[in-house]
Amino acid sequence: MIGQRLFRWQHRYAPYLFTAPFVVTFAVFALYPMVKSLVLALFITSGPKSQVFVGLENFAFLFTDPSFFKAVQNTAIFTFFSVFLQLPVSLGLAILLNSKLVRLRNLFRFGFFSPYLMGQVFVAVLFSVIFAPRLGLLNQVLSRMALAASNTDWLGTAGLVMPALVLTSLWMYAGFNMVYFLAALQAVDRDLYDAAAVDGANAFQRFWHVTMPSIKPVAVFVVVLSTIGSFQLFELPYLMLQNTSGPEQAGLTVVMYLYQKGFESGDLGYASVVGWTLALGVLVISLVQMRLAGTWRKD
Amino acid sequence: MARRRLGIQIPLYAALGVALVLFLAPVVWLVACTVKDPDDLFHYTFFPPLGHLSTENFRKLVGSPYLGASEVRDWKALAARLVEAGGPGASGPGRKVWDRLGPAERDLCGRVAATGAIDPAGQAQLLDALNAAVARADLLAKEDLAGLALAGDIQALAARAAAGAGLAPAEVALLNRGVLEVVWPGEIAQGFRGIPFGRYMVNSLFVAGATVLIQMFFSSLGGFALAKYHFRFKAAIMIVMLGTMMIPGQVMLAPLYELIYRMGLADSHAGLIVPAMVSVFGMFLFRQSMLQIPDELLEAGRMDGCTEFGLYWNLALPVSRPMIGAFCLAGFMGNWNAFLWPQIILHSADLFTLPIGLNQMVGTYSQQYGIMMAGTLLAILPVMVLFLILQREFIAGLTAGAVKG
Repeated sequence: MIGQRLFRWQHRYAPYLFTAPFVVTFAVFALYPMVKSLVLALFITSGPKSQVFVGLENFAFLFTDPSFFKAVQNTAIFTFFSVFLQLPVSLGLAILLNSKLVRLRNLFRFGFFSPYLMGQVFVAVLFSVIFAPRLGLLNQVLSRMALAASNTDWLGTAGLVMPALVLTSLWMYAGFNMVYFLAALQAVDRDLYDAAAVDGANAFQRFWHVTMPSIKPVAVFVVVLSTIGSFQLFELPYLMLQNTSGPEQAGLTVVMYLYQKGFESGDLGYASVVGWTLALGVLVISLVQMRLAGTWRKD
Repeated sequence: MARRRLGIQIPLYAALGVALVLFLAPVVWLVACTVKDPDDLFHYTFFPPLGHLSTENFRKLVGSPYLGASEVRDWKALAARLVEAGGPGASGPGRKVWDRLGPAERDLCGRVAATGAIDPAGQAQLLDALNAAVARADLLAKEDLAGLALAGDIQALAARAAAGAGLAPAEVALLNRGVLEVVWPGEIAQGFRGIPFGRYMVNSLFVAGATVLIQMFFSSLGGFALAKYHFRFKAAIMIVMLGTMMIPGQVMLAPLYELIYRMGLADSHAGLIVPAMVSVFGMFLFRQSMLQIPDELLEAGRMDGCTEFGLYWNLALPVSRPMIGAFCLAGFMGNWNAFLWPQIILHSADLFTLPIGLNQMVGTYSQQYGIMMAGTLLAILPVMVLFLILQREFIAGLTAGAVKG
């Protein structure tokens, strides 16, 4: 009756065995590093080998380092502009595509969505050339329209780095966010429109009083998602600015700061401090956004 | 009524069309840059005329050892050198090449050396003959190489050939080409050997493919347990998963590197794959799709003596096929485009994945836009193709959580 016992045994322990890979991987590669990063934060390290205990000195240094403030400032500006440019553009595209009169919807959707598929690294390489002086697409087009000199060095001029980054991320993520809005628009109850039309609402009123409330949860989701994504901005500036933080640190972001301190200078302890500060920032801003949007109350 | 429809449709399509042009222009420009010679980059904003289309960028990218038309600096001088090498009493590598040329090519060399005039057909004919010689394993003997100041990599190949080791066809061509560059430096430009692009491609395919397959197996297994079993710690696991998704990964970057370093996995592909074996996002996806499997069906399977793993493999997994498609693409994309973690742990050039390799290339060849664009184009193709295959599943998976929740 060994077979019978074995069968009962595997039945009983199956869920534990099935979740074991997650539990083990999580414990080793997430839980342990998270706890360890709290410990590391108290040390100055040089690579993975040498560590010196310094207590809270890392935190003290963080809040006096002008580079860190520059990084926070850049990240905040980028987040603000990219989120608030993306929102109307992606919603606008979704509304256009949602029209019953549009044929070839899949073609348009693929066209708008494809930049996202390229991935940040390859988008960054492409746009580093697009923004290049003389040969770059942007300068060629602008100078042909007599709007700017053809040798504008977008990524070499402190004031132009941020607009270039925002434009790039708009190009890359507008179609991605549009897909969410399109799905939300298609899920709006058509009866509501009919009822509003019977009540004499015009197109704008129908949009404002029927469409907007229906897609609000998705809009909040998109805002939170793109805010968190923007906070973690790294690949775009790092590759577009050829592995530097750009002229006058105009492209320095928080994650780039973390990378430079932790892996170029080798201070893993300090990098942990920056990491936790970032995590705290992400947590606070997403809670605030969800609070403002009132999604808490529904739950 | 029809008129009103048209009145909406025209501006609608106009707006969509303008948007589409703006969105596609960078990609079209990317493709255009890959087929332009360096000289034509200045001349044409987008595509050059048909006669100017060039495959040179791609050829350089994969590091072909064979001679291209643009790598011949001076046709007249090259032809003269060949004729000279074929003269009485001459020896060495040049002579060996001349011996391999057919009578038609020898005549051609004579004419070009005398007049300097050569048409594209003649160039192609001569290049074909030269490259046929370059491909021959028996082109050069040991004594031909004596006294030549060969580049490091070519020197290594020559040493291996001299030691009697068999060279691969590509290595043979590389060796012969490298020797000719040294013999006729003024006539033949040095070949582009900067980036082992093919190697990066293979590394990326391996890492992204292996990671996504392992992730898919473990995540769907875990998702199945969470969807269809009641067991202790289930609630705890769900809470932990939610928590993990809230905390940005950069928090553990530094200690994770320290851990991987101490496990001896730094600078290896295992260091990329092992920490990413289970995807929390994937477990949520699979749990969601497996919730709808009726418990009666599983019970019936158990009555028939099916093991729990058998239920997962034969029942749960086939049911969530659309989710597999969605996760396959999302996971592959995430791993294919991963930059920060590979950049931190990979140091050896022969382990580099595409994003890391391309980043190195930008630093080294930032002025050679055509080659960079060719590399970028080849790098984004696999994901694009995968998307076209899995489009419907992917969009459904992407929006499922957002719209329902």
